[in-house]
Amino acid sequence: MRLSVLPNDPNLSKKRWKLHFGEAFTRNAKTGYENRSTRHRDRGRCPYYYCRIASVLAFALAGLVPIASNAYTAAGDRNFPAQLILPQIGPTDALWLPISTLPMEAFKPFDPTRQTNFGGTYSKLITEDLGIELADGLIHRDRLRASSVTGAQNFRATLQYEAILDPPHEFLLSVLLKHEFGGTGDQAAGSEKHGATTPGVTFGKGLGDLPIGYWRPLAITGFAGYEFGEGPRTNSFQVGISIQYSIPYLVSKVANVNMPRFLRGMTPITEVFFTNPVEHVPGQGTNTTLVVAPGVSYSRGRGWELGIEAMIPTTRTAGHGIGVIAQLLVQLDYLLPESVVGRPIFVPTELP
Amino acid sequence: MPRFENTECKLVSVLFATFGLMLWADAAAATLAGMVVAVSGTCTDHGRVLDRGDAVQVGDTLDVPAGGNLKLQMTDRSVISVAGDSSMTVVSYSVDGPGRNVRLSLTRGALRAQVTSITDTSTFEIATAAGTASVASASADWFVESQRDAAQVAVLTGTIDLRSALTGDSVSIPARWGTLLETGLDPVLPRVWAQREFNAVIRLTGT
Repeated sequence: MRLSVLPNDPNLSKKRWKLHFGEAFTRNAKTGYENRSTRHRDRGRCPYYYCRIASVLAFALAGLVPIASNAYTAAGDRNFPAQLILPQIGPTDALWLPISTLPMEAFKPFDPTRQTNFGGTYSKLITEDLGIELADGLIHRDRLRASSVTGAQNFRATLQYEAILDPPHEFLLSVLLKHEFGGTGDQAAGSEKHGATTPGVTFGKGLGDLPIGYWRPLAITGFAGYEFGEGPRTNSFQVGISIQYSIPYLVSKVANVNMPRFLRGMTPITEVFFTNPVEHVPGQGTNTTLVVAPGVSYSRGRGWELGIEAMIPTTRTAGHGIGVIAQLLVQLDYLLPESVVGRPIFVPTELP
Repeated sequence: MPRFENTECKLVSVLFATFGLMLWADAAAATLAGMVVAVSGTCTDHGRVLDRGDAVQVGDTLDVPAGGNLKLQMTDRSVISVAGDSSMTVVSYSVDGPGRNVRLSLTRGALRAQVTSITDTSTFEIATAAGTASVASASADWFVESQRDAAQVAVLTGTIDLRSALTGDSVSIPARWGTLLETGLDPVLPRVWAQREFNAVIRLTGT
């Protein structure tokens, strides 16, 4: 996950502030500064450092989207669909292509009013339990009072190990170590100059082993990690959870429910992502973001999966509009199962 | 009276001829499907104990006791390995020139089918109570396990289609994948099988 830091200086004097931001902000004698951004919101009640934190967190939220990378994983008869916001819960051989767009709040000229991300992640199994992900993409930013800009995201790599797999209980747990290589993207487009490293843990648990009837298709996945920013980059604590109801599981493990064929591949899913950035600037404390992403995933077990979710910021600092993310997952292990692309590099010895 | 004897003689002749035709037809219908190449335990075919080299014909029902194994070399050079505590019936096994039409029924237990490639159209199906699995590629090496309320299919090489007997819904299972089909339901979405899972069924089928 990436956390962007605006090049703002909290010690900037008011005079320099006005010079720096020009006409975008005018002095409001009663309440302070007022924002004339395209959002036409009253910034007067927003102290300077709050605005800065909001900017930081808005960038952080936007930065999460293309980097969050997920894939198809199973525990027993439970297939966990690809997630769009949270990291994958287990390593796999897959390629996934997320596209997202998110409205953002601009505070000054050149601030983005909307950020659109085009991502691509290639995930490769080294062994059956250990995999690596390589991710990159493009950022397109529509900006306030300026032309749009497009540039590369920072390159990211993730090493993930599936530590626990309990098929009867539909449970798996993985540990991961992710690194974002700072300066490999276009900083003009918002990529970070400094990198970050995130150790974390992911899990998935299906409720199919419980005697709860039609609730058995429910499953929960989760993620917890801590991002260590390099240099001046902010550290952050990250937690996510998803709740999903798998209709493929319903019709294959619970009951023969009469419904249209296309509905049989649907999995309604809601992801929730929480971040708690740790500001290094004294006096600013910390702030949090919370985004809820309800959506649906579609898979018929044919080697691809499609997901789409709305991104709803639920805290003031998390964002200022509803975004959308869609993702196509290509299961290389399904489509090319007998090639090196679709199977682990090192496979245990096969019996004669 | 002599006329009656003549009629009786004709009747007996017709009966003998009919019976002879039935025997010939039965012999002709007993199409050879394959041959036993390895046997472990007291495996039977309709009660007849099988030995290595015995022929297996269409219509035969082969029972393998718990702890036993049976390996068949079929007429198309495919190899069927039947695990212990299994019962399999050869419903049809037709290999006409370049074409093939095979249907096996697995009532219980497990088997491994190493299906060879042929040049023409081929149908190779294994039916269970839950559904039918069929080869969707030129050749395949795969496993079927028929349980009380479900069937499980795993594929080492090739592609297998698994169709639910009740709902008609099907999934395609590629190499290194497997899935489960419970009676009366859709097939579970396939997943990658770990090598240790394949090793378990390889041991089960004794090959």
